[in-house]
Amino acid sequence: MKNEKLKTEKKIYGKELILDLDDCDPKIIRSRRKILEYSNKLCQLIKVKKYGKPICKRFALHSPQAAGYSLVQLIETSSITVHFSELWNRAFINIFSCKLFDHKIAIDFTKKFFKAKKIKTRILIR
Amino acid sequence: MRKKTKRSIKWIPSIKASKIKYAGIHLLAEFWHGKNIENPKELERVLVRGAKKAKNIPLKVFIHKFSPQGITGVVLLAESHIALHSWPEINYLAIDIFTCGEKTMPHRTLEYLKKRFQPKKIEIKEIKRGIIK
Repeated sequence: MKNEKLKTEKKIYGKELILDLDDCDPKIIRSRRKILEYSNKLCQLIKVKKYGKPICKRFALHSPQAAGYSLVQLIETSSITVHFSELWNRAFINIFSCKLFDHKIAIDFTKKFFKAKKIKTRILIR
Repeated sequence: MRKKTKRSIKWIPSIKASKIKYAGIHLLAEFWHGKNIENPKELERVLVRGAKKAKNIPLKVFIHKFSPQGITGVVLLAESHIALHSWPEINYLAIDIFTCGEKTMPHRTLEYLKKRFQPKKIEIKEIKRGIIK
């Protein structure tokens, strides 16, 4: 029984890609249209199915550091979340999917789309 | 700061204790063999309460129940998001708590989630995101 449990726990149940982007194009991260376009294109490129419509709103206006758009797109294999800081022109992106995806495609596309000068990537197998 | 113990939590000094400032803290937790991970309404309640425990402002909750099983729940916060992904068939819950701002306390949310789900095994990673120049 114990061995069975351990075997189960050693399986891979998903991959999480964490991207922190610096010095993004200020116009792009302030455009709801462009942010939605990013989400749509990303889902196509990494071949994940969207579930429902995304929410994309400008939040946290009380805090200059956190103010900016946030996007949540549920996908059939988990979720994509994106947060922007307009003060610093930064983006904080999480792509979690239990269907394995090509993270290199996601990284390249994201960097180019937001015209980020710097990108920090982390990949977690969960 | 709590010392690392075998198969348990590594608490990294908090943002306040460190000289470097970050935009936010991201906690990634794996809960194994917990309770109540199959009920979408319960997950929704837990997401909202968990957010409030850490002084976050919940803005919108998304819940999706997969067929035949499994749930994804995301609460969008004024300070980022909390996400839960459950695999009831293997008794596994993947948790993301990402919060920004100096007033939020993501570890409080984590403690609350531990109490609610009572997992027998936990793995936690803490990532600091966005160095403030």
